[in-house]
Amino acid sequence: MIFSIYIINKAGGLVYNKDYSEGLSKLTSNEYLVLAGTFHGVHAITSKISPVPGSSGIEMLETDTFRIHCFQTLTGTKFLLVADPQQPSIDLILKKIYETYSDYTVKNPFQNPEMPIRSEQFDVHLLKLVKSFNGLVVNNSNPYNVGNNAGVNASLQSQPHIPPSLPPTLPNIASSGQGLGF
Amino acid sequence: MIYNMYIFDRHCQCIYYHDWHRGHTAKTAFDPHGSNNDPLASHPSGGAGGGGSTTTTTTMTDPRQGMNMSLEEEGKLVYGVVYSLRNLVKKLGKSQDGFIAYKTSHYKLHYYETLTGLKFVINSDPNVESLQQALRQIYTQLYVELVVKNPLACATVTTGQVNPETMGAEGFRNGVDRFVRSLTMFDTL
Repeated sequence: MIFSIYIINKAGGLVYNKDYSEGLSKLTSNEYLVLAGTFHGVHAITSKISPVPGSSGIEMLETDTFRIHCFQTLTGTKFLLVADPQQPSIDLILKKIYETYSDYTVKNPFQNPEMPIRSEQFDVHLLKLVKSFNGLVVNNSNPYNVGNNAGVNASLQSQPHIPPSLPPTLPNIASSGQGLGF
Repeated sequence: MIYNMYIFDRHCQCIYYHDWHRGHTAKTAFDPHGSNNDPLASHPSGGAGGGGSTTTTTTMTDPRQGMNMSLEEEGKLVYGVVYSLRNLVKKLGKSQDGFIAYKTSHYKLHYYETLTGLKFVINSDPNVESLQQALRQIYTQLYVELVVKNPLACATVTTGQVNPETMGAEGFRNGVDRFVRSLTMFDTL
């Protein structure tokens, strides 16, 4: 179950946040900004206080009811994913979010870099992605759906089932006894 | 593998620090940082000998050589990180939620806070599952027994700084050392 997604630019400012579930508390937009800034700072410090040299910043934060996963791109943009502790395939989800971001935000000519993201296409596609992964968790709990493959393709199951249209049947000449006239 | 451990009191001071394998990674097995602890790890008893090895004063010492800050500064940074994350989690989650641990590419920091505001922090390698129970045990069986109930130990510090080595209770350092060395994940990566 994915609770929310945050995107932080390389200066530490929040450029996108979206809640997908009522699982977490509702915060004001100012509080979200403060949260993003705090996380950005903490991410930088955690690589410094490492007991072994060469550590990255914080990648996963764990609590009783949720986990925050952080994916930092090579350009310094951070993607935060707040999900429940049992959510599987987090790496895949983060990768897909990054792909959606690059398709609908980076390639958007009207999007200013490092500025807040206000793109309907991005919202729509992220929502579709989240629904497919949340739907995946629901399907996995179904005891009869044993052979369910993990991945985005599972989203197809949530669409209404259209039976494949059969090709028009040809009259069975052989069995009707008429023959071909030879 | 357990790297090191801090204890902070509710006045934001680092009152205890203990070092085991700091700077010791699989690649730096022969690193001079790690070699300080190796002869001690080979001691079967490990009790009295292990406790006194890592002398930590407020300046740089052997196990922390190459670290460009003193123990005091590092303690403040760790406390700051832990405090900020704790507030972040409190804001985001329900009221009874607590921050348990965080993971980076090279280490995992486990956190346990008591109702009195005492904070136990321990760093391990990223594959360790959960040291919450271990921290809880250190609190209930070692800290409460040897420090809180000890009339000579500084339970609450209002003036001056507590000696991070002993906290006024000699047995505590040895007790913690013995307990942590007895953990199965102590020296396995």
